[in-house]
Amino acid sequence: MREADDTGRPWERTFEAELDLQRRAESRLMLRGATILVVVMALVVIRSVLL
Amino acid sequence: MRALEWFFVALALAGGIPPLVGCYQFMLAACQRLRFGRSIAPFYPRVAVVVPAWNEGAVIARTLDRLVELEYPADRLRIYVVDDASTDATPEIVRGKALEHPEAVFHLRRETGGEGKATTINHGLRVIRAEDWYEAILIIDADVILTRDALRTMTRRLADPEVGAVSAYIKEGSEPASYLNRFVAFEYITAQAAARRAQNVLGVQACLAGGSQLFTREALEAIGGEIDTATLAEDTATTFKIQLIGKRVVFEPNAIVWAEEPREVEGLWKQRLRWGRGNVQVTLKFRDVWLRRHNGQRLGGISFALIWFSVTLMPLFMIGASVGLISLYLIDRDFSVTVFQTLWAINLFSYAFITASSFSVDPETAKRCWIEGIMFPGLISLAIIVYASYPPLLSSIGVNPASVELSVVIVAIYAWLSLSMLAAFGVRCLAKSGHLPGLIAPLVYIVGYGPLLTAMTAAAYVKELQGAEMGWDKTEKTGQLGEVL
Repeated sequence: MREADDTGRPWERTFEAELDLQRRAESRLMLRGATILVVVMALVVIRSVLL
Repeated sequence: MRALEWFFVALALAGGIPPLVGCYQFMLAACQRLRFGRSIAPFYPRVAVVVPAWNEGAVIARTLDRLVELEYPADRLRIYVVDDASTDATPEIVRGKALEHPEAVFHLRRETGGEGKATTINHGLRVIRAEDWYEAILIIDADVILTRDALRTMTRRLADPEVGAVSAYIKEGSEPASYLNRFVAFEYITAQAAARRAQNVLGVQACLAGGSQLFTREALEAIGGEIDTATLAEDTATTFKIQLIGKRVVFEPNAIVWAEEPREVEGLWKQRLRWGRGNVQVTLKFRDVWLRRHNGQRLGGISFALIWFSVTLMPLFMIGASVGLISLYLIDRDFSVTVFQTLWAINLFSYAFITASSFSVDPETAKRCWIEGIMFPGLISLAIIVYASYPPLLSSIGVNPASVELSVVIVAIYAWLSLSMLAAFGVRCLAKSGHLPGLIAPLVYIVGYGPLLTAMTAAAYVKELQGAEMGWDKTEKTGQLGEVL
């Protein structure tokens, strides 16, 4: 990896916090994706059993 | 069962491949967390921004104002507007901005224009490369608005020397938005936020968003210092070339770029016809890449081929499904019902999963266009999904299953995946004719935005087979990007 270019720009102070937020958002996306998949598959199974 | 019947079963069920691949993409997209954050660091190369412009008087001032406001070191950012012989106020506006920001904005005028966007960009690239100042190139459309942190969010990806190019997340931002803008907004959640995240996970990208793409100097020089001019999809061809020299292309979902997309069917048709033809040209140009990892590296992978061809061959899948179902109906009516229900059960599962996942990937955009998200396949397809889920429905409302009329309806339902493309083409013809303008929006909701996109892909095949001239039908922009400013 190239060396970080820390030139003291104001937005750099929030870089780690920003990255952390984005990481958490990706984690939530993964969790929601898994939940949606399970719910949709459960609905498909229920439908197959009922009909 | 005879071989012919198996063939028709396979043909019919192949219609389920594109929606299943769509589900696969959303599953991959949700897994981006597993790769996210690697090799990201603050990084500020000297960036030359290339803005190709032809008669962009309505939007160029706003675009330049935002570019000079970006959260990026001012001494590392230069903006070059390549004015492609504009005949409106573009030259005066850009010259004015260049006087206002003499260190940042530069006006490059072409006196003879009309050779297309790629040629205009290449004019700018020649000037920039001759100056030998740049370390990275950002190419944007003249009408897009970058969020203030977009560029620095993209350049931090270049901290990884393996990365050769970065694509931003283009979002539809028209305000007030037409019904078609809202459909496009929803489409971009699936086609960009989800599909490109999935491609990040696979380690291969199909296309850098033409509206905002960042290249390293090393990658650009390695592909000859120019953008491809041989196809109508110059951004896709360039994306392929960069990956073929061994560099990675990544999508940065947190770099948001707002764009104004066509408000009416005719404008969208012209734009997507160009994209569709470009994709056909790219498919043929890189024919040695598909499913050959030794030639195309990750471009040659099975997953990437599935994603690419499920989109580019969508009309053929739909026609095949209809032909398969109707043929089975003529051979064995009862068995055709089973195959029909299986195919539409796949459609139901995919529709539910993709729609719910889209809302999850970008809830902010989904709030603006949730109706269009639900109506994406069209009212008729939704009705067929309901019918396929519960076939006795027609009988329960008093329709006699043995009647000739019902046979006609069932054949029409089996053929709908193909008929929907014809219906969408009819909507486009009506829109083009200018008659009954009030009917166009309801018809799009009834026929479906998805079938409209498939019809545009089919029309692109036809144009390409006819060898039609590769004209550059520029999308009209009015500068209606309200909320982002």
